[in-house]
Amino acid sequence: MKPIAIIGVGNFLMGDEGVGIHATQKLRKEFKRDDCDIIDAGVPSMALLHMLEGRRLVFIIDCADFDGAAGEIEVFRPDEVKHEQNAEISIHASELLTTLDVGLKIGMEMPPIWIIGIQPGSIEESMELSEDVKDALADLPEIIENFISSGTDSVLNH
Amino acid sequence: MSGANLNIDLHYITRVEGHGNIVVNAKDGKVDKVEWQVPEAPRFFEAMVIGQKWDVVHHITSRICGICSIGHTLASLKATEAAMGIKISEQTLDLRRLAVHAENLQSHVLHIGYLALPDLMGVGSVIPLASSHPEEVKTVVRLHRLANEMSDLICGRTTHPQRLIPGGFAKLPTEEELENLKKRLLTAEPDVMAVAKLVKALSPKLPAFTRETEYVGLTCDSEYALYDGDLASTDGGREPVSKYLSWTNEYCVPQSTAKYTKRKRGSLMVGALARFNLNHAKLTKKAQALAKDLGLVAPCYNPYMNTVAQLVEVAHGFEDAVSIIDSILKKGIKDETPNVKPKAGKGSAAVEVPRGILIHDYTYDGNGVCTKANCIIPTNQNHSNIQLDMEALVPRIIAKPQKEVELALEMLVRAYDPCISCSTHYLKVEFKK
Repeated sequence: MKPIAIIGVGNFLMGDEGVGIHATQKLRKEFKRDDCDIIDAGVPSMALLHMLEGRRLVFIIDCADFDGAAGEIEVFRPDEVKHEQNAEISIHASELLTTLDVGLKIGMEMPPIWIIGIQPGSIEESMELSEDVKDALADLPEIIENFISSGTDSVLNH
Repeated sequence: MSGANLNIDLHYITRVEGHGNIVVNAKDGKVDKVEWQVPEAPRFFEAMVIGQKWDVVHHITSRICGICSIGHTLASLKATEAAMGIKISEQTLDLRRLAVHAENLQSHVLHIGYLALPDLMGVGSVIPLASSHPEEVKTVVRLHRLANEMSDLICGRTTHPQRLIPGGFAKLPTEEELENLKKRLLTAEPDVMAVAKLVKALSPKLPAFTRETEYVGLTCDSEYALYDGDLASTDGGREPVSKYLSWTNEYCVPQSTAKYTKRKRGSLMVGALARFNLNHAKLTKKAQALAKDLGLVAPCYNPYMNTVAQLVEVAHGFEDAVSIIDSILKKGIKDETPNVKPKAGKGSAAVEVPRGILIHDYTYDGNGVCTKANCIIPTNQNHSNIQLDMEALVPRIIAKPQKEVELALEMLVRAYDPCISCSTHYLKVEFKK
């Protein structure tokens, strides 16, 4: 296991909802670091928590609606986002923040996590990304490299 | 009469996958309306494999569901192999049987530990349990992690398998890796028993509701059918999976976007309890002993006991997986490269996934391009049974306070462990500042 994990999540069959999976496919070809595992997690449910264990730093790439323009990227920590602090909603294949919340609350050791959220343009049955979102993927290697090389991971935590 | 007026309108009930609503109206002790509603927008994933080649179809279908991705992969591979007359080796068969166990263990442990136990312990979620019962939660986490690692080894991933391909495996586990997995599985037995002890202590809290129905599952003569078998029913009848349409009889209802199914009665049940009722004699000895200890006796007509049946299947899965690994190691891992030549044909296949029978049916042209597809998921097979259970249950508990009725109905739905949709889970982000 490598100290850094770049994890793409989402449903590959639902257009831009699967941007995290498309991102890992691109990063495997273009992002070369010996200390990074690039993981296509799909819809991992609670199994995501076990992918985080033992890491020094984790990036999670997911489709995120923050009222931006299609293809816009926001990088943020889980604790920067408003979120209902409970697991009442489905945790069976839950949305990302609930899964992370459950992990923290049941006492799992969590590494510093950056979520790379990409604003969708279209979420419907398709294995293709919309053009704006596809174009946005070109920026990912530089964004991730900058975060790692700036050493910001050492001061991040929940 | 106290409690005889009910106005229940539960939207998006919690701790199930996807969206389901419960609506109950009763006045002066008379029930006017009981509905299990599935309002999810329908998905048309079958259309996405039309025009796709035979060697990618299973990768696409594995993305339908994050919980049952191994099952969708296996049902897809088996249907493709049936359509093209592809035979698999004994080694591939054994490794696929391990893959099925890995998925069942992943899903069952998740359902029992994270979703069902909170009901039995009177809390809203697993989070309070982490404070009140930290060791039990850690035990569940350990078991879940082991099941995930088992999937990683056999399938190449925790979800959405990569190593499973038509005719065999793209990459095989080594004998050393299988030896290590076996040791880990053997050391997990105390954890399984610890969860069983907890469930046994809490099982009196399961509602004592029974309604006899038709239980349908795969069955085979040689083992507790999970990977393969004929369709079979507790009402009698056994037919090959190719006859599945006369067993599912899909139909639509006004209150649901999901299709319902039925066979001889108004409804049928699939899943762990159905499998137990059909095939309990083929469970491992330890699993049979655990069933007895937990008070699970066939035929069991209490749907709430589905969670207990899942726990029995967990014990079976760990023990049977060790036997399968022993069998593989005895013969030694052989390098096998599938040599598949696509051809035209039609094939259907089924696998028992955590929630019941998953059926895939494909037609291919001479170039190995899929021209027709059908996929019937187990949760849809259970919807009509949930509806009829609710109709039977509400009059029996109508005098209880509304909150108790609501909880009993929610627990009923959760007992079926429904997986209504695995389509979209994107983040809705609102920054704190």
